[in-house]
Amino acid sequence: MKKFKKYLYVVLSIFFIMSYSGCTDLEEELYNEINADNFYQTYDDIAAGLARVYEHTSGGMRGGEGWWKLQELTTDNMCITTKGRHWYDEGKYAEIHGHSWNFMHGDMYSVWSGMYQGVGYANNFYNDLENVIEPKVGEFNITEADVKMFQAEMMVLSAVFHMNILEAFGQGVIVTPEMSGEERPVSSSAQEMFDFIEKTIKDNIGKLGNHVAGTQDEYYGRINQAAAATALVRLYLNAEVTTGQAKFSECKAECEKFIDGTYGNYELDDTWDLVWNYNNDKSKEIIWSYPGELNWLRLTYMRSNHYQAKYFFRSQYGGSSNGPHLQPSQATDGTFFADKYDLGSPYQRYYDGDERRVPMYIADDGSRQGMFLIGTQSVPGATWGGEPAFAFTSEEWKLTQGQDTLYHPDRVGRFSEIVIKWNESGDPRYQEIVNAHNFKYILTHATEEELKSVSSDKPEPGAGIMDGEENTGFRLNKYPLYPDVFTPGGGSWNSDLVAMRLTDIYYALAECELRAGNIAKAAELLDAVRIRYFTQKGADEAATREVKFAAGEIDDLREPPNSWYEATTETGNMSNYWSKASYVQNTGLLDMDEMLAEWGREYIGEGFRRMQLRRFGKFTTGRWWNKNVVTDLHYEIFPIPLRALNTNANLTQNPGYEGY
Amino acid sequence: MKKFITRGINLKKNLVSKTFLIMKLTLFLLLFSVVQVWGGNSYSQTKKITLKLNNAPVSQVLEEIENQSEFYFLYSGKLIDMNRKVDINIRNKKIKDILADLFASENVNCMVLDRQILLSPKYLTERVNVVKRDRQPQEIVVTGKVTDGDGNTLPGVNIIIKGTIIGTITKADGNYSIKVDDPNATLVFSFVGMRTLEVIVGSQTSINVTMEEETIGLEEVVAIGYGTLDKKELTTSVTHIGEEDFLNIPSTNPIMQVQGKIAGVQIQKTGGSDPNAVVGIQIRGAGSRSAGVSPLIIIDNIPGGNLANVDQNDIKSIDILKGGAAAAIYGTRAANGVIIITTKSGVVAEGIQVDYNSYISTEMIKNTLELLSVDEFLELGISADEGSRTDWFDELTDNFPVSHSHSLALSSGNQKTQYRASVLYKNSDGIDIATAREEYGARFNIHHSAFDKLFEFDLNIAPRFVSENLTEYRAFYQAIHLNPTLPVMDPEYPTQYSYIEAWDTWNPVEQLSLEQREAVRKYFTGSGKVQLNILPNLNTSLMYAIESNNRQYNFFTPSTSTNSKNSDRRGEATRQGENWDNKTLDWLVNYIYEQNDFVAKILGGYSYQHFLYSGFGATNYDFPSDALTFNDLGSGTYINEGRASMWSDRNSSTIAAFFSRANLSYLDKYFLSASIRREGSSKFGVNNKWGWFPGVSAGWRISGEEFMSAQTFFNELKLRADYGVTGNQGFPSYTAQKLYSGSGNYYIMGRWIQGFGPANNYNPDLAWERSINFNVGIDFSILNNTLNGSFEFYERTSKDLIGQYDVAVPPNTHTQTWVNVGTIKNTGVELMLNASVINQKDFGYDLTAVAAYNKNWLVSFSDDIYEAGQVYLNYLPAPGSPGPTMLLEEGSPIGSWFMFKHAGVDENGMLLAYKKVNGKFTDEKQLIQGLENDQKYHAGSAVPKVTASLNHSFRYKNFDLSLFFRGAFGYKILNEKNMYFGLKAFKGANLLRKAFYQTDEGIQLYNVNDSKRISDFFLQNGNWVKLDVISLGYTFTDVNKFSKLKIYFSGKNMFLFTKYDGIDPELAPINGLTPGRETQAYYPVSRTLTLGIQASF
Repeated sequence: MKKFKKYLYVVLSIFFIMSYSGCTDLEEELYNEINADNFYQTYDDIAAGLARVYEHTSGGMRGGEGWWKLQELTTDNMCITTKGRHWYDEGKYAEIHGHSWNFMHGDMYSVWSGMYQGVGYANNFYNDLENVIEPKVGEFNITEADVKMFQAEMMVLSAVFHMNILEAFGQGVIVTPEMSGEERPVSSSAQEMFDFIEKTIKDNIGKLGNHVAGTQDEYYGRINQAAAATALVRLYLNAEVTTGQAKFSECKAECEKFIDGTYGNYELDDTWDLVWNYNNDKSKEIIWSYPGELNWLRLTYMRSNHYQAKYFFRSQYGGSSNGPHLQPSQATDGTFFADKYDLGSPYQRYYDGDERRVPMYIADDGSRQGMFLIGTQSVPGATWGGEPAFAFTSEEWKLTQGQDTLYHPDRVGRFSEIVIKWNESGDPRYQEIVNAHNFKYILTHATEEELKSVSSDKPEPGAGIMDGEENTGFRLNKYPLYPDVFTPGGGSWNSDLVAMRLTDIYYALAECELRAGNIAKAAELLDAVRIRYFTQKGADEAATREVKFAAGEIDDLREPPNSWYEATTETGNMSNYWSKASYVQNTGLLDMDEMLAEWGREYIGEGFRRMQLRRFGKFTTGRWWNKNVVTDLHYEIFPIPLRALNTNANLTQNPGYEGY
Repeated sequence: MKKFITRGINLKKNLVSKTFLIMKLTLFLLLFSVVQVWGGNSYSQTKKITLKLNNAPVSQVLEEIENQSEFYFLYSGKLIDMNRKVDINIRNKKIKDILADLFASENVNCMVLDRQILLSPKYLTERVNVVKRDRQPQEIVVTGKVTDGDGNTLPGVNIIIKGTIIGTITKADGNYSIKVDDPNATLVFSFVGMRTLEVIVGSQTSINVTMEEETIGLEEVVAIGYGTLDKKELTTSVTHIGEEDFLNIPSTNPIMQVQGKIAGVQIQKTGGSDPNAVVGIQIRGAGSRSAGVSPLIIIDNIPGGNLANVDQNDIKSIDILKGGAAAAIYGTRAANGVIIITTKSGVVAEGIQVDYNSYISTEMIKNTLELLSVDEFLELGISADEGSRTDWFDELTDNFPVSHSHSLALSSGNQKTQYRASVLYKNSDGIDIATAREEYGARFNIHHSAFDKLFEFDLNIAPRFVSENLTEYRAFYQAIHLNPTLPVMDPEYPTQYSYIEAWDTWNPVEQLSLEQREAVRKYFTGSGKVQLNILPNLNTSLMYAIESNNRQYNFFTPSTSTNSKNSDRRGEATRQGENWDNKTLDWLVNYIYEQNDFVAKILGGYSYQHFLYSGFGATNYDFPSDALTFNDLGSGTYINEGRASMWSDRNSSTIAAFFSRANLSYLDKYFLSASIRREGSSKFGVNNKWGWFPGVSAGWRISGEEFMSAQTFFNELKLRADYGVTGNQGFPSYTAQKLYSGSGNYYIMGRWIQGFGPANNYNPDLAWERSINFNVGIDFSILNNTLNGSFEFYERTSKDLIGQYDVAVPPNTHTQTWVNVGTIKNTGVELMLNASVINQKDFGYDLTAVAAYNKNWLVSFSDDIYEAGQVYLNYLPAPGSPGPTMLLEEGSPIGSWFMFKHAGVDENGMLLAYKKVNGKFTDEKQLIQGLENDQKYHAGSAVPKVTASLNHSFRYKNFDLSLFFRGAFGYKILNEKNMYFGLKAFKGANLLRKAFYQTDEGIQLYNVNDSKRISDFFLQNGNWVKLDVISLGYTFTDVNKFSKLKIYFSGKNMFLFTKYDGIDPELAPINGLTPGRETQAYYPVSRTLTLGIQASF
C-alpha cells in the first residue's frame, strides 16, 4: 500500500502539472491568416484597407456581372442567347430577357449582396479609420485631414452603392457605419434612400480631393469631387422614376456647375476611342475610372467574345466564354425588326458614317476602328502564331465541316440545321457549302422559307432567345483587345474601366434641356460629343456599302441602309454624313424617342440602359425583339431577393412580387 | 499471468488476474505459443529454481514456478487441493525435486513433459494403469496437425484423452503426437476461441483436425478505445471483425476487406476500379451538413490515423464503435462513429515465424456503354465521316492489366521481448492507359517488459512510399461523345496525336498519353509507449506518436498537347507539395477494483493532439524543352511575363482532452459503463472552447440468470442500452477567428497595392456539432450456439450542425457565416446473424447475414437567428447546367430528389410533366420547359433504405469456398449519362444507342427531342444485388516445414443483378450530402480475378 501511495502521488502531481501548463492551451496559432485586431501596422496597411474597398467597388459596382446583366440583358440592347448546349443556365437569361423573373433569380441577390458588401467594406474601413488609425495618426505618418478625406470617400462610395440599390430595387436599407452585424435593419422607402444618398454626397463632397483630368495624380482611380458631383447628377436625373419626384432642374443646375469647371478642367476628347483605349488614363474626359493593368486588375467587363476570337485579335486574351451579344436587327429571313419596333436593333440604329459601325479591327500598332465584331472574322494578311489569322466557329456546323471562318450574323437562329437538312436530303448546296467553308453561304443561298423554318418563335420569323448558335450576334468591344505584338505602354487589359465620364454630364444636361423644351441647347450638347464619331473611316465604310448595295451585292449583313435613314448618294464625304446626322443641322430629328436612341448608342453595354428606358417610360411598355408585348408594370423594379428576405424579416417586398 | 490457458483448466478463476488477462489477451495468445515444447527434454532437467515462501497456498507456489520458468501446470482444482498451505525454501533445485517435496504427502502424480507438467491424483493414473494391465493394451502413437478454418496452423491446442488427464499440446507448426492405449479412446481438442472437438481414435494413427471458431462470439476481445473488453461485458454497439473474416481481395484501402460485412457501415469506392481512388466510409447515415460524415479512424491507439498506411496483412482486427456511449470517449470527433484498427504484434517463439502472402490479379472491363455504331452515327447524319474508325473507349483502356502484391512478415520473441516486422511491395496497374500504383511499406513493432514486468515498452514504426500515376476521369466522358470517325493519330503526321478542337472536346487518348499526372505519397507513423505496472491492478502508461503524411503532386502537359495548343503555350507544369503532421500524447491510468462478484475497471486519461498542415505549389508555362517535364519549373518563360503562379499555405489546430471511464460488472450478469470526456479544440470560438461528452450504457446478461438455467434454447442472451453524446468538429482552422484577408489589387496613390479587409463574419460562439445517440441491442446465441447474432435499434440526433448560413447583408460584409444551427436525425435497425448450418469433420457450411435499415431526415434548419429555408443541392453540370436536382428542407431526408414528374412526351418529342395544383398532382400534362420549382416534387431518395449482405462459406476437406453477396435497396439513381448522352436533342455528338433505338433492356429514350430537363424520367430504381466476391481456397496439409500453405482464387465484382441501366449502381455515391448521380466523367468498372498464396513456416 505504501508503494501504491507513492505512485499515486506521482500520478496526481503529473496530472496537476499538465492541467495548469500548456497542455490545455487552445489558442489558435495563425500562419497564413491575419487577425483583424492587429492588421494596421504601417501606412501601407492603411492603403491596403483603402484598396480593399475600391477593389470591391471596381468588381461590384459597374463591371460586376450581376449588375451589368440586370441593366443590359433586360433591355433592348443586349441579350444572352442559349447557344445549343451552352448558356441555358437554368433559363435565367431567357427569364430576364422576357421580363419574367422572380425573387429567386440569382443575379438579383448578387446585386443586392454585392452592393451592400461594398457598403459594409466602406463602413468597416470608415470605422477602422475612426477607431484604430485616427488615435495613432503620428505612428502611421498620416495627417488628420487625410483620415477625414478617406472617411469622406467611404461615405460617398457608400452613397453610390445605395444609389444602385435604389435604382434596382426601388427601395432598400440604409446602412451607416454605426450599425452592428447583429442588427436586422428595416426597409427604407425610396424617398428615404434618396434623401440619405443626397445628404451623404452633399455632406462629404467638400472634403474630397480634386482630380486633375488626364493625369495619374493621387486622386486618380478614387472618388473625387467631380465623381461625387456626377453621382449627384445621376441621382437627380433618375429621381422621377426612383422616387416619383422629378429633380430635372436640380440635375440641370449640377450639370451646369460641372461644365463651368467647378470640379476641375474636364474636357471632351477629340477622338471617340481614346476613352476606351489602353492609354485612356490620358483621357481628359474621364472623371472616375477603375485603373486597369495586366496582372494587377483585369476588368472582365463582359464575357462577350467567341472562344476563337483570339485568332482574330491575334491575342492570347481574345477568346472569351461567348455569352452576351447585341440583340439582332434582323429576323432569320433577313427582314428588319427596326421596321416593326421603335426599340431594339441596336446595330442598325447607328447613323451612316458613324465610325462605330465599321467592322472592328485593331492594327498591330494598337490603332483601332469600329466597336463591334460583325460578319466574317478573318483578317487578310494578319497572322497569329505564324498561321494566317482567322477565327473559326464551332458547334454543330464546325463538327460537320471542320474549321470554318467565324461569321457573326445580326440574326438569331439555328441556321446550321438548314445545312443538316441539305445533307439529309442530298441537296447539292450541301457540297457547295462544304467547299465554301463559310457560314454566310447559308444566309445567301437558303430560300426564304428555309430561313424562316429555323424560327421557333412562331408569331414572326425571328427565332427566340433559346435559338442561338455559337456564332450568333454582333459582339460589343468597347475596350479593345490588342494584338500580342503590341506592347508599348500596355496593350490588352491596360484600359481603365470607365465609371464616370464628362459625357454623362453633357447627355444628362441635354436630356434636361430637351425636357424643358430647349431643343437647340440639347442638340448643341449632344453634337459636341457626337461629331467625333463621323470620321473618314466611317464615311469610307458607308460608301463601300452603298456601292455594293447598288451593285446588288450583299456584303455580310450590313445590307440596305435602314428604312428610316435616307441613303445619301454623295459617297465618301465625311461632312455629308455628319450633315445628315447632326442634331444642330437637323433639329427635327431630336425628340424624346431620338434622345433615348442616342443614349442607347452612346452608352451601349455600359450598364445604364434599363434606367434610360425607365426614364422614357419604355422599360415595360416598350417593344423590341422577342418582347412584343407590354410586360407587367411591377417589373419596373426588381424583387427583394429571397435570400435577403430569408435573412432579414424586417425587409418589405416590392408590390407584385409577394410570395415569388 | 502468462499461462492463461492453464487457468482455463483450473476452474477457480482469479478475477483480478483474469481482467488483466483479457485486456492483454492479444499478447497472451501469442505468448502462449511460447509455451511450446521446442527442443528435446533438456529444459526440465537443466532448469533450476529458487523459491522461498511461508504459509503460501500450493497454487501460489505453482504460480511462482511458472513466473520464474517456462513451466506450466495442467491440473484440475477439483481433484487436487490447491489451497493447502505450505512453507517452502529451496535454492537451485530441479523441478522434479521441487514437485516431489511439494506433493510428498499427497497422492499426486507429477508428469513432467519438458515444460508441461501434468498433476493428477494418483488413483486416476493407477486406474489407467489397471486398464492397461487388463487389456494388454497396444500402445498407438497418434500424430496429426491442427489447423483453423483458414488453414492456419494452431499451436498450443490442448489435446486430452477423454476421461483422463493425459494430454499434450500442439507445437508451433500445429503438429502433435500422443500415445493412446485404447482404440476406443476419444481425443478432445480444445483451444480458446475455438469450438471443442472430439475425435474417436479407432484405427487411425494420423488425425488431422480443423478447428472451427467458436461462433458464439461472446468470447471475443473487443477494442473499445483506450482499452479492451470481453464481448460478454460489452454494453454498447461495437462490431468486431477479426482478420479471419476479411475478404480475400486486392485493394488499396484495407477497409475494403470488410465492405458490406458490418451492418450500418457504408463503405464505398465510387471511382470504379481505379486503384488510386479514395474510399468513403459512413456509419449509420449522414449526420452533418458541412463538417463531414467520415468516422474517426484510430490505428494502434493513434486517433486520426490514415488507412492508406496500413497493409491489410498487418491487421489483426477492426472494431467499429457505432454506439454513442462507446464513441463518446473520443469526444468532439466521434459523432460519425469510430473505427479502431489493431495491427498484429510479435509472438514468443524460439525460431522465427514467417508469414508470406502474395497474389497476382488481373481485371476485365465490365458493363460498358452501348454507343451508336459508326454506321448508325453516319446514317443519322450526326456528323461527317472523318474517315477513321475509332472505338475511343477501347483506345483508352487495356484489358487484363496485371497487379501483384508480396507481403512478408517475421515475428519472434521471448518472454521479455517480442517483435514483428513486415514488408510489403504492391504494384497495381489500372485498366486504363494512364493509371498505375506502386507501393512499398513496412511495419515494425517491438514489445519489451523489464524489471519483473514493472515496466513495459512498446515501439511501433510504419513507413510507406506510394507512387501513383493518376488518370483523368473526364477522358471517359470524351470517349462517349466524340465522333467515332475521328482518328486517334493525325493521318498526316502519324507520330502525332490528332488535334480535335471544339468547345468541351479534345482527344482523350492524347490526354491520357501525353499529360503526366503523378503523386508520390510518403507516410510515416511512429509511436512509443511506456507502461508502469504499479500494482497488479493499477497501471499507467504514456504514449507519444508522430504521424506524417506527405504528398507531392506533379503535373505536366507537353507543348504538343491540345491543352498547350489551345492556350498557345509551350507546355505547362505544376508541382505541389503538401504535408500533414500530427503529434499525439496520451496518458492513461487503469485501475481495477474487485470485491466478491463485483468488478470495476476504471480508466482516467489525458490526450493532446497537435495538427499541422503546410503546402506549397507552383505552376509555370513555356518550357524550352518537353524533356524537362515538371522537373525544371524555373526554366519556363511564362514567369518572365510575370504570370506564373504559386501558393503556400500553413495552418494548425490543437485538441486537448481529459477523460474517464468506469466499467462495472456484477455477477457477470449486470454491466454498467459510464464515461465522460472534457474536450477542447483550438478551432472553436473563444466563447465555446470546451465541451462535455458523456456516455452511459448498461447490459443485462439474461442467460446468466438462475431462471434461464432450466432452458436450453438460449445459450446466450443479452439486452443492452446505451446513450452517449459525441461531437463533430470537421471544419477548417481559423473559421471562428475574426480575420482580414487579401483581395484583389487596386491602384492607390501611385502604386498597385493588394487590398486587405474583413475575410469573414466573425462568430466567437462557433462550436462542435453535438450528436445525441441512443441505442438498444440484443445479443443472442441459440440452438447449441449454432446460431448467434445481434439486433440493434438506434437513434442519432445531430444538433447544432455546423453550416455556412445566409446572414443579413446588410449589415454583414459576407453573405454567410459559420454557425451552429439545425438538426438531422438518423434512426435505424441493424441485424447481424451467423449460423453454423453444418459442421462436420469433412464438411461445413456457415452462413452470415447482415442487414441495415436507415431512415434519415432533416428536423430543422433554423433557429431564432439563422434561417436556411430551403437548400438546393446537387447541381447538374455544363453543358446546359440544368440546375439543382435535390432540395433539402425541413422534414425531407438527405439525398431527396426534387424534380418534375415525368408525363411522357408530346408529339414534337418535348418532355412533359404532370401539373401540380395546390400542391397535388393532376392528370393534366404540361411542357417542362419554362416550369417553375413549385411544379417539382420530392421524387424519392438517393440513399438506400436497406443495405444487406449474405456470405455463404463452405468447407470440404481441404477446400473452402465462399460466396459473398451484397446489395442495396429502396433508392433511386439519376442516370446522368442517359440525360446527357441519351437524348437526340444533344446535337453533333456521339450518343448512347438508346437515344435513337429501343434497346432490349433499359429505358426508352428515342422519341425525346427535348433538351435535358430535370424530371424523374431520368431517375431509375437503384435496387441491386451483386455476387461481389467468390473465393475458393485449398489448404495443403503435411507439407514439409510449412505450418500453413494455402492457395486461393478469388473474384471481385463478379455478377450484378439489377434493372438499373447505367454502368454500375455503385458508381453513384450513397454517402454524403449529394449522393445519387452516376456522373458523365467516370472510371470504368471491372471484374478482378486474383490468384493468391498464403504460406507460414
